Amino acid sequence: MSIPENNSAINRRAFLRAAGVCAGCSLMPFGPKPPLPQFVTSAFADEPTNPPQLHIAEFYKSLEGLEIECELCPRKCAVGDRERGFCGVRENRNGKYYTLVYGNPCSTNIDQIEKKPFFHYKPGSMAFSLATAGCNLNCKFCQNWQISQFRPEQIRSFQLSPSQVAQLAQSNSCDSIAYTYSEPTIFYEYMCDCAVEGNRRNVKSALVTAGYIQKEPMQKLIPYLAAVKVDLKAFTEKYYADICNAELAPVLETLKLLKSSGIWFEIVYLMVPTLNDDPADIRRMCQWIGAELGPDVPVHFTRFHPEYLLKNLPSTPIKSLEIAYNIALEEKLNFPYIGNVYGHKGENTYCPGCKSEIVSRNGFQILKFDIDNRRCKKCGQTIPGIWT
Amino acid sequence: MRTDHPRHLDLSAGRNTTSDAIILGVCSLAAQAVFLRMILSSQPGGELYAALALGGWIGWVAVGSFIGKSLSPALRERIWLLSAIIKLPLACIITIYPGLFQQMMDPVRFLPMALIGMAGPGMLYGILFSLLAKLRGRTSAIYKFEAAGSFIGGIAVTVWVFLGLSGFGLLIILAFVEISIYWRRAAVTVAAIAAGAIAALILSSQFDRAMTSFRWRNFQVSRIAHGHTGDWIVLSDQGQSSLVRAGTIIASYPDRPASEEALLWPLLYKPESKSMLLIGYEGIQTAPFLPPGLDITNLYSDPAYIEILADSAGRSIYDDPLNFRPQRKYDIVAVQLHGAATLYDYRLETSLFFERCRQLMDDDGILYINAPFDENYSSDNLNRYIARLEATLKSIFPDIAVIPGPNAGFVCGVGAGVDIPSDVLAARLDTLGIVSPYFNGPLIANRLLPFKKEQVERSLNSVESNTNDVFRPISVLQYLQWQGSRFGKTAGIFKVYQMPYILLFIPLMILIPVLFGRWTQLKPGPLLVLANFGFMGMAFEIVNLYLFQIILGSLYLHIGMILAVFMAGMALGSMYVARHRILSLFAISILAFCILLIPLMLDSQIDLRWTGFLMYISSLFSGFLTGGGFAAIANRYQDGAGPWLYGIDLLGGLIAALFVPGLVISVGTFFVFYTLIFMYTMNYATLTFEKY
Repeated sequence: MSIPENNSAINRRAFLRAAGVCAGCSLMPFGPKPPLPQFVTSAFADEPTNPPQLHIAEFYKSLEGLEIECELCPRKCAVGDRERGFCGVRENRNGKYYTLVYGNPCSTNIDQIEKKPFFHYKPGSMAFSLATAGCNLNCKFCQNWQISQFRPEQIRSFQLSPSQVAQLAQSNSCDSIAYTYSEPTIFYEYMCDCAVEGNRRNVKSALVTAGYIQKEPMQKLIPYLAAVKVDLKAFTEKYYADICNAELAPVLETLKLLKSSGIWFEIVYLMVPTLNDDPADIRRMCQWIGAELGPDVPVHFTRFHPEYLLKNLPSTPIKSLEIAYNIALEEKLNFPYIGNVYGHKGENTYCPGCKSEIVSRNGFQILKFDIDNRRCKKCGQTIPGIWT
Repeated sequence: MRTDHPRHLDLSAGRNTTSDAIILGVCSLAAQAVFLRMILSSQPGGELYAALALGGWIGWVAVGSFIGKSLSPALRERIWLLSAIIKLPLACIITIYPGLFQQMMDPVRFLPMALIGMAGPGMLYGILFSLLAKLRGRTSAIYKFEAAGSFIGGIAVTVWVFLGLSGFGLLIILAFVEISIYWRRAAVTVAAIAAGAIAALILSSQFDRAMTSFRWRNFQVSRIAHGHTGDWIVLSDQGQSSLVRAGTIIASYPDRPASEEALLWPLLYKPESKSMLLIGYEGIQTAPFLPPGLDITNLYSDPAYIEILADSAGRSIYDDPLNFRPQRKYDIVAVQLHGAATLYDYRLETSLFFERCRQLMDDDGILYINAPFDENYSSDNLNRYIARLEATLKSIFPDIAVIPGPNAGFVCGVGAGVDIPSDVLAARLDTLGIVSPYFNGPLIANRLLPFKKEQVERSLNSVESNTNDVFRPISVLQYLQWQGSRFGKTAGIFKVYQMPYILLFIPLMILIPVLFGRWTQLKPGPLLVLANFGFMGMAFEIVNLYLFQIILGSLYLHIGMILAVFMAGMALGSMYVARHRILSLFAISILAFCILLIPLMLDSQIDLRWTGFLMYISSLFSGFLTGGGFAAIANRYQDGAGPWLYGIDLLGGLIAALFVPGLVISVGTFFVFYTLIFMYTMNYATLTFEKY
């Protein structure tokens, strides 16, 4: 293929001009850059208000060289020097493992304890809730993904020592400190110290967890706590692997441990349409709970709302929640609940003895409370829980 | 019977190629716009994928162009037929593809859809272009007529979308037109258009419903509407409905708690209200719990929403909220803000809008703003947003109260004070006769706890707050970054610090033409210029797409016209060069800087019609440069080089499609202009060297 002759020959001036332009262009990327507006530089991640504070972490063992293995959660991350575990908040520095979120919560609030939800633990009381950045799971439906899926330096946090936490909880008339929103396992050391400080001021601690934690740290933590709520995400390993990037078996072990320790605990099952609402799975789960944990463990079937990466699924139909509720009753569980549906009768507590409504709720509010000294006022049946 | 006999080709070549090129332009642009709109509507943050889809299209056109080089022109009728057949099945694939995943697709999963969806028609149109160029003997002539046809196609798509019709319908008509080419008679083509219109009327809604139902196969699709701002679907299940837009559930109803929070707060602050204007309250259920006798007016910015809405109380009006001028005033004006994904929405956060709200209110009326907020963790972006909102409201209203909660409520008054204690507000529930299991005294007390108020104050004070009285078309880029951030590492390319990787396009732009030149034995200099023209054309098209979404908030409505105006510019550029033989360097540099200046002017403009006009002009000029540049280079070669030239032009465009979104979304339009200036000057220089 030939190129035809060009009849417009270039002159020297044009050549020099073009060469000059080329040289100028090639320098442009290296020239002074205009400062990026703040909304651009921080559009992705927030400006951290505090640099991460180093606090020596518990539960790890040294491997060869400077590598360590985290023993806090079943993930057992092998972490090289200057690297972090899956949670993004625990870092190996020269063979020592540190937590970066000790004393640095990113979120605090005062919530009704029913919001957690705890229905058999100090009903109607308030909980001082706190969370730090990071999580050891990656749930596609996370409601708090803006904090749970980020590292501490990527979001804004503030300094709050354990004693200050306890003091704030007390001064705001909160009966409990709730470790919630993200996964508290990842700020284990901070949680322990807050619980100790809280207990000194008679402010109890309530843990809201996915239960994806090793046995030893959980055992050590339980004495500091008054109640635990475990998110049982599903009853299949596939769901845990696909939707939560975790495993079911360790969570079940945690539940068994809680049962054996005698601490008060409740289970929440978030029903996601088409993913974990199979009645057969729910029946298997209820059977397992009845057999391994006993019939008195409250099980909350809560309604899913589209969030994070599952915004393409609609809210759980109330009918599905009612099916699960009825399955739990059929499997002889005494305290199934329906959650996130205001005004539904499944929010109420019914006495397993006389079947009467003993606690009437509307959302987070208690409308009727017919329990006296842990017993049904009508028939005297013992109602398990921590009621005062 | 048709043969490959040369005499047959000689007899019909001129007439056939002209009409074929025009029809090719009409069909290719219409199909491209319909497919693009379908792809954008399939996912949240669809704009994130706009360039990928465009890149997929032109990539396949390039492949088709190369394939066409070695095919006989006599095959073109069969290719038209194939093109007519495959479009509908591909549109079905695009519609149902996201439904194959149980979670939202990240860009990596999206890419196959963009490539598969655009593959068939894109490649066939590329082959057809190549065959027509071969038959006609002059690539630039085909290019010109195709571009003219594209302009017609763009107008057709825009009218189609404006009427709220389904894309399937237009594809059915296109299929009929393409089949009619087989007979090569004008009467047949006219009859085909009529038959296609009838078939579209009958079949398009059937296709729409069947495919949408398959995508949402676990749920029941009750309504579908094609609006100016996107497609709306209602899923219903056991008395519950979910409103879907861009593949995302944006509201579920009845959601009485959310509805009560949005509507009862303003009533508590002005319990004697007789009239209420609701702006942007999509997905809010109004009927069951508002006091009887309250006159409600709903104002929506997309007519499709009114079409699918059946259970809203009061009157529903379609209008631009900024320019809504009723003959009356209201006791309460309540505005639901959605975080301003577009500048169209963003205008509703400006002092101008709040001033107009004040004019809509009675002297002692109140304005209630229900804004996005997160009481658990309020990010800097959110804090900045809320703080700016508060500062802007304070510039208009003397009294402001903030209600902390899942959403931040701003109550603004002019005459009456709005600093009312929680117990007084709770007592007003009884006055209004409102009995609710959710919205009651304890909830009001909890929302207005001093601790929560202090938290909000802390959030507001943690960032700078400026009064929002100017337009800054950046919000949509933040929105797209946020969309990208949800997919973690996959969308890491949209992070600013990934810029060195994004700038890889510069060496690629040099390397590819050089390698291409060695392969085709063409001189690399002109190929470099042509690749640059392709890159610039696509870069401008992408920037224009984003700007339309930012400024006018309705890329979905304007997409046909954006592409059409660009193609018209290409036709004009091509014709100019055909007449004057060469596009002068001086003209290029002047035009380039004109284009660059136009979008920069947008920042100071407030009238959207004027800004829209400027953006069309920008699109036209960039099309002119692309078309003119292609024709200028094509004229220098012998005829057989056409497909190669077209190919390198498209490869340049493909590189732009892959890299420019990274630039735009990461650092905003400013850096794009910087880059475009750089690229244009490179063009200027390479065009000089090309003369050797």
